[in-house]
Amino acid sequence: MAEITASSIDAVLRKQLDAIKTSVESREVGTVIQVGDGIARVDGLKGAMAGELLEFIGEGGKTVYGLAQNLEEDEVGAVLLGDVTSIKENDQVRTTGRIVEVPSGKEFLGRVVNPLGLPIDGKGPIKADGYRPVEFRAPGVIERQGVNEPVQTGILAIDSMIPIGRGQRELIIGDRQTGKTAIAVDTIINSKGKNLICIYVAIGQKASTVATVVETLERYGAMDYTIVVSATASDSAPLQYIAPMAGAAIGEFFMYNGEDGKPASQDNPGRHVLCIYDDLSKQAVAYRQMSLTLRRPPGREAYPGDVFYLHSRLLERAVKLSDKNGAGSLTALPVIETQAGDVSAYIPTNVISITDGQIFLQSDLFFQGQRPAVNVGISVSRVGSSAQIKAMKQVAGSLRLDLAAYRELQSFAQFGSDLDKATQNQLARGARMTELLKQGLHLPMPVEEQVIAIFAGNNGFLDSLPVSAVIRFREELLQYMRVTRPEIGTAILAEQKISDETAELLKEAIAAFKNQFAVEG
Amino acid sequence: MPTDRALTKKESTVYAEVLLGAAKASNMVFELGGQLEQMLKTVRGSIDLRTTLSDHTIDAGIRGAIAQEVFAGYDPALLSALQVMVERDDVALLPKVNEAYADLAEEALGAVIIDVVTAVELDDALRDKIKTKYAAAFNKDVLLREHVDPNIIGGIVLSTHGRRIDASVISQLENARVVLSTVTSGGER
Amino acid sequence: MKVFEAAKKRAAACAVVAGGSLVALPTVAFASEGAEGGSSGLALLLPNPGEFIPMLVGFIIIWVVLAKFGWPMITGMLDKRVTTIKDSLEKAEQAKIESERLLEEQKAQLDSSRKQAADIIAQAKASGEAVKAEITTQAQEQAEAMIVKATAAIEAEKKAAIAELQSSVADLSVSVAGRLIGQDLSDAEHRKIIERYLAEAGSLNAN
Repeated sequence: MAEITASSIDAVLRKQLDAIKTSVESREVGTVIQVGDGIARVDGLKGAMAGELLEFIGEGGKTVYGLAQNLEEDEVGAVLLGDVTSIKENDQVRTTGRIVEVPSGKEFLGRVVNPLGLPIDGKGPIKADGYRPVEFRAPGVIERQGVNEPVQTGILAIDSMIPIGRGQRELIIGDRQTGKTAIAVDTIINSKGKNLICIYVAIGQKASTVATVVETLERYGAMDYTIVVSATASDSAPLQYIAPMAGAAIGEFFMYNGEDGKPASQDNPGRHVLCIYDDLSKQAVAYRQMSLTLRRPPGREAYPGDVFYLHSRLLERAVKLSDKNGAGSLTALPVIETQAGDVSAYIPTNVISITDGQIFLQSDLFFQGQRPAVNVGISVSRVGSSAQIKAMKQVAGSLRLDLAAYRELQSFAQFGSDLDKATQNQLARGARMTELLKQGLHLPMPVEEQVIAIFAGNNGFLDSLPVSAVIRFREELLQYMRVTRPEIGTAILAEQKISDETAELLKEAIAAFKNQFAVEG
Repeated sequence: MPTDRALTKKESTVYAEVLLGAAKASNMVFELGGQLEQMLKTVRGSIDLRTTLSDHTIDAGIRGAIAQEVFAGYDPALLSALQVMVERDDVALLPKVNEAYADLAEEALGAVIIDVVTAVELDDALRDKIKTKYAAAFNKDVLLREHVDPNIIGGIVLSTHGRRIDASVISQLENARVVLSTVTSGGER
Repeated sequence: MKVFEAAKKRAAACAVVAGGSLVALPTVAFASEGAEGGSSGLALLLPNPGEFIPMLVGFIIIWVVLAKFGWPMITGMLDKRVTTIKDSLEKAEQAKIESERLLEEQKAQLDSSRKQAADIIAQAKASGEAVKAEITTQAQEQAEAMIVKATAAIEAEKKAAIAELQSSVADLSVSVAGRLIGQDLSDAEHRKIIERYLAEAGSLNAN
């Protein structure tokens, strides 16, 4: 342990003292009329702007920040970010002329911060490379380009049939306990070494859950490129409300700036960022609480009228920038929790309509042992397929058809036993393909292995196996390919497609493996 | 209490005008403004007082008496205006009355009223300095409403019309403390 | 083959005996004739035509009958026997060749499977080695990462401690400063400060 010397502290203090300047400019001040429920009504402040950061001077000069929300004729309704209890009536409120900003930078990687960018992991202060406004106008049409690079989740069912591209907004929706967070965490774990900075925003979750996620990410070495923004259930509603925006702002810093911290441009590429908002239904609830205490009129399900705009302006910040702007990207993976599978509630329908597709997770699938419990029949990705590598497209097309046919036949198969050979074959294929898509927790698969696995299924190598042996076959096959035929995987990656030669090699290698595969393990 | 903005504004202006008339008669326009502000602060600062004054289960007369008791020593015109407010359930109008009165008073006096908070009493030389400095800026006479508050340790706090110059030692120290204790330096705001 | 040979010999012997008896008959007849005629000894040698003719006829009849029916039957039977034996011998020969071929094949297969087994073992060894190497490097990497992480954690802790110390020092010094200023300043000094601040103070009506 390095020593903390008196001189080091002295040096720091001196440096800071130099920074103090005695500014005696006049500022606009108001007075707190009423405070409670995390909101304050402020008299005066005629010059306050909507969303402006306000400084509340509490007892003993303690400063608490607030957000100007309701601008009325002679008072301002503000929400307090921080220690609500230290503010009381007659306290002074100052405008700052700024909107809420969060610090961001390289040192944030691997850290856990609150929505104001302050560390909460006890690892000491973080040096910021810059500040980004929490509310930021999304880039326009000219500044964007189409999504064309993949975000590999490492999950077979998603990467093959519901592919996600960098700059896309893909909703993860499902009941509680269906593995929504697991998909997000798997995606982060699989992003290792893929030039992707991940931001996990935890909104309104239990602190223990967040701690578990951080611990998991640390165990898989994923914290090196991850920032966790946490507003737990015990944080005030305003903090939960700004958390996703703060996460997006921290991510935008990396997207709009290059590796050197200078603004991204044609020759200074911006970074790629993945933002996971877990989950937006809690943010909506926090916003509802805030709005109701601010006495804004309630609408459907008592949400305020602008809850759609709240989510749309947040998700619109997901972008794939044009080459001129550094070609960085911000991918948004919002999470929505449904109640008893009801996707027609207010918030789910809103967010479904905003995003570029959704991954449906169903609890009955989950309990049937189909994990991840993705319902591939109703999950879609509207733009991701253009970001898929060609090899995956080649194999995924027939996988989709097989599964669709399987679903169609499955209901018939329950009645009659007299099925013709073709139907029986299709059912057998479907059952094996469904089994093939099962995957363990935190075991992401690289894309070439996914291609090999699906290729084996498509070419009938699984048809003669019992369904129960499929997963073991897949695992052992991939292990075999890794160790003895690594050149095939490399070829797929290099060519980005399955050429005729590769297909032949693959068939031959899989057949060779199948010969030595013992069904009874 | 009416929620119509125009109506409340009119009502508070009526209160303010009556108060100004009474103050003019007793030549207390300036002092009454200070007392009104003090009254507003007291009402705001105490939830008990606020709720009591607008509690319908208590007889209006008793509430009026409580108000008289609390603000004993204030200008009689102000006290009778407060009595009316309590009886008519208009205590919530107090901030607006204060604002309207301040505007009217400045107009009547032809001057700008500046609140000055210091740790020790001002002397005449300082008063003159302040007055000349801001008379030039506002292009109007300046009246100083002086408060002594040792809590600010030293320096001066000037405020008028919702703007404030805080040159107190306590806020300087607080500023220093914040700067010293935050190490999250770097980056430009 | 030998059986066949023996059968032939036996058949030939029968024919000689039969022929012998036919030649002998007239001799006996002539002898008996000689004995009865001139000299009885010679007569014995000469055939007695009375006996000789019917015997000859009988002999010819038997010869014809045998030649016509008995002989082909016997030779047919023998021939059949010969072919059956020949066939079975050939079959046995073939079976022997086949079994020898199979033996060869089996040997080859055994060799190849032995080789395959060796190959598989080698491969398994190789892949085991690869996995082992992978695990080792992974463990090494992990260990290194852990060390790096631990160093980082120590560094972070140090930073946190410095920050905490710094802020408490700041708090303390500011509060001490506040108390000192409050107590030590005389009214005149207070007014001087006010004057200085006032000179620095900005405008109140700027918007």
